[in-house]
Amino acid sequence: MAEYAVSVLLALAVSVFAAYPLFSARENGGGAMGGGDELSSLRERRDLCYSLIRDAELDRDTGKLNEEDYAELVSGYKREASSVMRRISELAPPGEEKDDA
Amino acid sequence: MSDLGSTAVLLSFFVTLYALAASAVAAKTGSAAFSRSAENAILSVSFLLLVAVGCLVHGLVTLDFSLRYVALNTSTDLPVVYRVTALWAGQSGSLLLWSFVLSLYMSFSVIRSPDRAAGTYVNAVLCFVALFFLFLVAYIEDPFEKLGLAVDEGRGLNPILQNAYMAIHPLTLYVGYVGVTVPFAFGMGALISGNLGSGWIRNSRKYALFSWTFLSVGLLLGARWAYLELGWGGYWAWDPVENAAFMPWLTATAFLHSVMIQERRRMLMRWNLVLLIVTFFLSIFGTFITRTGIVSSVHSFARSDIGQPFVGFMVFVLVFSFALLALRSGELRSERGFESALSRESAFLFNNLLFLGAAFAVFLGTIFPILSEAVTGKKILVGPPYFNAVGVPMGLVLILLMGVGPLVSWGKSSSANLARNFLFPAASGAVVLAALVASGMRDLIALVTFSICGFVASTVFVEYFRGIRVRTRRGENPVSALLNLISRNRRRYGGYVVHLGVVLLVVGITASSVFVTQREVVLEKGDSFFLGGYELVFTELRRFSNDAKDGVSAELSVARNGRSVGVMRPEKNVYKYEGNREINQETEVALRSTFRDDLYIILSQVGESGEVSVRALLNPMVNWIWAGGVVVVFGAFVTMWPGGEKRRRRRVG
Repeated sequence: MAEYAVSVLLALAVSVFAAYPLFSARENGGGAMGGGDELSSLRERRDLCYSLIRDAELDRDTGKLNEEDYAELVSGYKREASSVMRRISELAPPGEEKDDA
Repeated sequence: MSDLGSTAVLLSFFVTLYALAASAVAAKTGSAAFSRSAENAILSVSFLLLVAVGCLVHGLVTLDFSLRYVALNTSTDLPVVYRVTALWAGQSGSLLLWSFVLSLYMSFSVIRSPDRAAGTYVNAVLCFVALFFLFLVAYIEDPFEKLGLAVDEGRGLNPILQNAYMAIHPLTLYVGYVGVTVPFAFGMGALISGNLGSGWIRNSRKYALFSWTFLSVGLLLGARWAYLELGWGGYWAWDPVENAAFMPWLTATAFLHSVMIQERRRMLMRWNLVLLIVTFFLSIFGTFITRTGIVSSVHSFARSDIGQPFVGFMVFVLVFSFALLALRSGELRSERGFESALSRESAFLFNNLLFLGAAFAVFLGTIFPILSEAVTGKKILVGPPYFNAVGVPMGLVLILLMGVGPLVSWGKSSSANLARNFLFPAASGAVVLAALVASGMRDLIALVTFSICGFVASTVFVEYFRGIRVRTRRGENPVSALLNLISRNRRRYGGYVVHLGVVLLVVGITASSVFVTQREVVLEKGDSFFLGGYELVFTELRRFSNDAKDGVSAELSVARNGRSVGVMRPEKNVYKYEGNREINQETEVALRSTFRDDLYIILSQVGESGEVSVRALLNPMVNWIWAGGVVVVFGAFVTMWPGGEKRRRRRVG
């Protein structure tokens, strides 16, 4: 009997937990997805650009890339990082801009 | 508890179905509420399956023989630890565990997802896969199925599964197997949503690396278990179940390399998706051949209740994934082409082709007995000679590329740079070759393999040396230069550690395969024989019995170059409970293991008058394999360890 009671409680708890966002005012007020999520992706892309620049620096310093190839490679990454950062500053809330720049 | 477990499984099926539907609605309408609701449902599924697993473990530990699964996989003599591990000893328990591990990945993906919009598509794909496995557990292979008649004793766990390595090997393998579902879901999510930017590939890589690490650990633990428990003297037999785990490992390794090309050069996007689809397919295929018994006979497939649903699912996965890929093909064009054959991306592409070729060769060898039995009615076995003939040349070129890749740069390498970078490693390989020839080694495969390993090991050394030198020139001391070099370039230098581990593995595999020596002898008490530098004397035969088994052990005193090194006791045991696969005999090998060689003794037979048949092998450098495995896993964890990205960003900025 106790096992059936626990099973019913489990079913109820799971249903309430899963359905809660559909009836929560805060969630519904949030509306469509996007914005903040795009920001996270942009920040990831920016970090990747930095890491690629560091990689290229290391390749140059350890003799795998000559200066000319290094400059060509890094200028592409820097261009991409700049455009990503411009987009971040458009999307980021005012307080966070400094940290992202 | 079993009713609660059964309810939890059923609930998890319906909640997953809801999560799939809610994700689809969220994807279609962009509703954050539905997306959040789907996420909550996914978190609930993990909890429900935790309850189900807990209930089954409770049944196993308390020996609730009213459950069919418990009665088939445990017995009263079974130690508690093996009652717990019986969770993955049988089919329905394994499928429940598969589902539970997948639900944990799903929850982790929900919690960690930086992008809810893209995550919605990923969740939908993950839910679809989970739904298939939960369907099997809820409706076909119910682990909570009750027996019509109560029994007092179970059939016991297969004796060869009663081993510490076997206790954890399937679990690690499952974490790896199941884990490849997540990168696949990221890829499919990107294809369905059309959001083909960089986010999905970055996330895929993290999960793929994690799964790859656990697949590696699982494969090594399985090899170690086979070495200690199966008693035939080796660790890898190209058994279909071994191959099942090896194939996704090969394609996942290819993906981990080619993903770097996509991140850095925006190339090979279609190729990476193909690798993700193939890796996921192979993980499902591996589960299929392990669980349906199709490898032992196509007839077992016909008898298995899960065979047909599995085939249907695999066909659907292949058709759906490749159709989707074809549909988006135009949007996945590379932004640039290969600039030079002398570039890292070219080396990686070649490595990819070889990995995929190797996976295909293993796949063909694995399914050939099934195909031949289906077509001709006769099973034609494809044994180690086929796999070695195909695998060794491919493996050698792959190892060579492992050394070449780090020495060339992205984009293009000038010939002057190449000459300078290759000089020391190539000279090291040549020195190794000359030293081995001078020492009398004549085996061509061994000579080539060891020389290439020398070349690869020195590339790792050179890479570390140059990196440290750059930092010491900036005023750092060598130790902090090494630590900073690794911590600020974890992917690169962790990867080199993995390469070093692979070198150790390859050296161990080659030495133990090529230079193994063995003797089979019949001994009476007091007899002795020689093997390598060892002298073994048969001193005593002991019989023993306990609740679980009747056993016999031969005592052999061992001396090396005239000095006693101890006593070895190989055993032969007969278990009192026959086990669910009707194997009731087991050999416990006696092993004396050093980094130089393994003395491996098997008690083959005991005669009526007390004479024993013993098979003894001297396997050189087997410990290098396990040590290599530890280094590989250490390197993988260095690569995965989260870095202080913000701090480094400030430095670059």
